[in-house]
Amino acid sequence: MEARSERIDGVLIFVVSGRLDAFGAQQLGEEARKSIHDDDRDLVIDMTDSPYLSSGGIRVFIALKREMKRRNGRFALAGVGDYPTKVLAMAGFTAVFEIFMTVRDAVNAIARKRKDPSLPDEIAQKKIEDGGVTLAVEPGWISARPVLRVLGSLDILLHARLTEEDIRTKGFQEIKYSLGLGALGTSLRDAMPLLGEMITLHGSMVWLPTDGNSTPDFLTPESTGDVPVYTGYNITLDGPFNEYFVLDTGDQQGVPLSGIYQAIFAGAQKRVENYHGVVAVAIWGIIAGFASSGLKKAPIASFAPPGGASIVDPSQIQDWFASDAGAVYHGDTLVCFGIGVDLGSNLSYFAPDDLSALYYANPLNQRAAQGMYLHNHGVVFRNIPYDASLDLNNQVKKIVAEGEFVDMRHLLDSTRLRKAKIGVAYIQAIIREP
Amino acid sequence: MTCSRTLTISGDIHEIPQISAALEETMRACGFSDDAILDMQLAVEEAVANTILHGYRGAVGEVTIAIHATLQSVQIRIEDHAPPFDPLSLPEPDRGSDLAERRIGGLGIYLMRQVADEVVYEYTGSKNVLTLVKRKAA
Repeated sequence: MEARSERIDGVLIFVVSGRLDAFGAQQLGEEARKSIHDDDRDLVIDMTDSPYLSSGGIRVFIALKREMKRRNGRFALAGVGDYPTKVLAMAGFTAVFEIFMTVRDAVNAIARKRKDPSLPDEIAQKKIEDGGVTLAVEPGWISARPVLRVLGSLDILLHARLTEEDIRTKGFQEIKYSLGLGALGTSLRDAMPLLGEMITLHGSMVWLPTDGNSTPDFLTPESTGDVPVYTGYNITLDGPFNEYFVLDTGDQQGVPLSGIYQAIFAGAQKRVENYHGVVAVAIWGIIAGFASSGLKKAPIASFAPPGGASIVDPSQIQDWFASDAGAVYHGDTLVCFGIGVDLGSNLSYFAPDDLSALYYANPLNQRAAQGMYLHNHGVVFRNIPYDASLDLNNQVKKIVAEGEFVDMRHLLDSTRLRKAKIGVAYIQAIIREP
Repeated sequence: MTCSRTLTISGDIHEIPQISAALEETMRACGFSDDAILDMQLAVEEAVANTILHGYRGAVGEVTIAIHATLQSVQIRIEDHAPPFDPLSLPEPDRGSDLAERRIGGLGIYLMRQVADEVVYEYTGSKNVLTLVKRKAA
């Protein structure tokens, strides 16, 4: 038995070649586990080239039908041959599964009835468009005044001058969205050399210890308890999102993070009265391409480069940053939080010192020179059905509580998404924390 | 004319295709139809899968399948050393209700009984012995 997958009009098809006996069913189950992306909702099994079916196959069909039901989608069989039809009839399952003559018939039937909440009424829906990226707009709390609270100095961090005096302990249980540099440890001395990139999502904290293992650590509020998180740099969003956007590219290639931010910037310049060129953004999306970098060493004074060089200096960058565009999380779920600075807008609303606390020019970001600075940390999860009609904040809370955790990285701007629900806060103040 | 074949497998689902291939070869040599071959592949698979999954419960255990075909009928004797269990004692699966609450335990054994003309179970010499018979359609 071999199964390969393809997608026709947004419907996932498993083309089965060979017998769906107990062994074939086991292989089909494994294939399904690998091939179903988090934004797949409808599944058709093409049985045209499968002459045999047993109860093992029926069991896998039942499991897949339940999974697609969980995703508010449909499960169907197509091209069912004579003997499999006989088995389904004997087992009493003819009426349980939707059965179509051909895959085309099944896809047409599904597409005809599908109500896609991510593609609402064209006329009622406001949209912003820029550089080929289209975002549908949903109002958030437009009159709220979100601010960023910034702890520490990016300058100290980027010159690896952090000392014990710069480190604060912070509880993250109450924080919805933050990113920065942090570590867990029984003492400050233990934590210092492990300081790595971190993100907070609704009280859960994920960090990438700089212990050389490149393996992130995921902590829920329950698992951290009262253990302090040591942090040398942190940006926290204080306040709600002013607007929500829905991205649906209808394209496996998706669009880069930089394109999403560019569309947000362009839309804000035209429409948003209190736009001052800085946004905080939370994204729940489906990955089409993953590009990341990660700090390899804690930027503390005892590790500092000679001669006071910056860790992003070309002579230092290989030592300090692991750049990885190789991880393949295609079709998996990304939850990310980040800051965007729109260099094409008038940034004079903010004090230059406050602004420079937010961003730096990461030379690994090829697009950094093109009018924006982005700083995004992202967490990869798997096996979370995507549904843009759901509330972003509730869903992020649910994903961190229930999702299958895969990875956490600092995202490069070339990371690509094909679908996304995006919360945007137009920042009204940058507050430096003591 | 008779065609006989005996194979012993380790109790692993991976071995199912090998059993099916042996059945096809043996029954085809005695002139059985495609449908009869498929029926006995189904019956034997369900019996063997039941032994692997429920008899040995994931432990390693051997299953011996002895196929004996003539021009009139085929008899398949399946033996294992799992604890005594009569698959024919299983209740019929629930075939009417909705998928959500449907019990599907026993479905495989139910299918086995549908397609075989005779099924006999005995526990003898510390072995479960299940004998399946299929006769050619007149």
